[in-house]
Amino acid sequence: MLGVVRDGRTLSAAGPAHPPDVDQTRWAWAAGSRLQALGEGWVAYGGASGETLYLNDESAAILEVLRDEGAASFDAVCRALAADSGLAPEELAPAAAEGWSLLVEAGLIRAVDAGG
Amino acid sequence: MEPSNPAPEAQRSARRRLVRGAFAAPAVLALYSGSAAAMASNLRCVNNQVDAGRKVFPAPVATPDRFVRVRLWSLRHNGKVRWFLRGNDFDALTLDRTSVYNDFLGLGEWREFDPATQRLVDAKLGTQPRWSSTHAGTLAHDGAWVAVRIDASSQGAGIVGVVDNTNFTGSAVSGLCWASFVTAAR
Repeated sequence: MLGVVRDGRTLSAAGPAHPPDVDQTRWAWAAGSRLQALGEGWVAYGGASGETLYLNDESAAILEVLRDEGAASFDAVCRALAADSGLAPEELAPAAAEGWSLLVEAGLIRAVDAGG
Repeated sequence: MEPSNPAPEAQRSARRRLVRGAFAAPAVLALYSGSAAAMASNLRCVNNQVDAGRKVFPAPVATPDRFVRVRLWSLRHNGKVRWFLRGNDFDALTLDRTSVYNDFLGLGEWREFDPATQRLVDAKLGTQPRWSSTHAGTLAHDGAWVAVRIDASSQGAGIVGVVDNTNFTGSAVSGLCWASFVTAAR
């Protein structure tokens, strides 16, 4: 998978392929974040990082779920993406978990609370 | 939360673009450039917005200068709030991923900042600020962002301006300008 790359250098290695939080931590867009289509991909502004980022469809889809359906747990996001992709939630969860930390590190999403 | 929401009919959906039966790992690629050209653009952006009427902001004077941002700390008590810069946040600033010498505000030091006037208040504090001698107040890292200039020789930092942390208003630097700024690595 692709890590966070800056000026041609990878800044962070791919995270482990496990759910980012096994509890019910809910996630939301970081304040000030933006997402726009650009060509075949997506450009986002990380409200918590101040960085401008290029995303693939999967990253953008996660943001769209949180935009369209509000703050949600990792599992709930996987269920929504499963409905979109035709996969079972448990089939796509490992891939989603692999890139989840990148979205957090990029300042695009943040944990809003636990237990919901 | 304030995602961009273009009109539904014009909005392209990444969810609809997902390939049926497949889901790749999400990928994130940082787009800002550290190139000289981009930096020159950033500096022009700041220069254009720091006009003669806002001289409280020192204009960038050398093209290799870099701009990073740090967040203000709030000190609250009885519904009132004051804003502070923490030296530890400046100590983490880097230039080209190299730590810079910082004589602006060192480890353990604090300095009050007034967003209304966009000016530093009083002198450095050598200890964590208190609301008063009798009340500690409550500190939180939840304030607006201030732009910090790291000079060309990496020998110091100076406050350039302050922005509202959600709307980018009242600032010498617009949101679009911020988007291409170098951000401090921590």
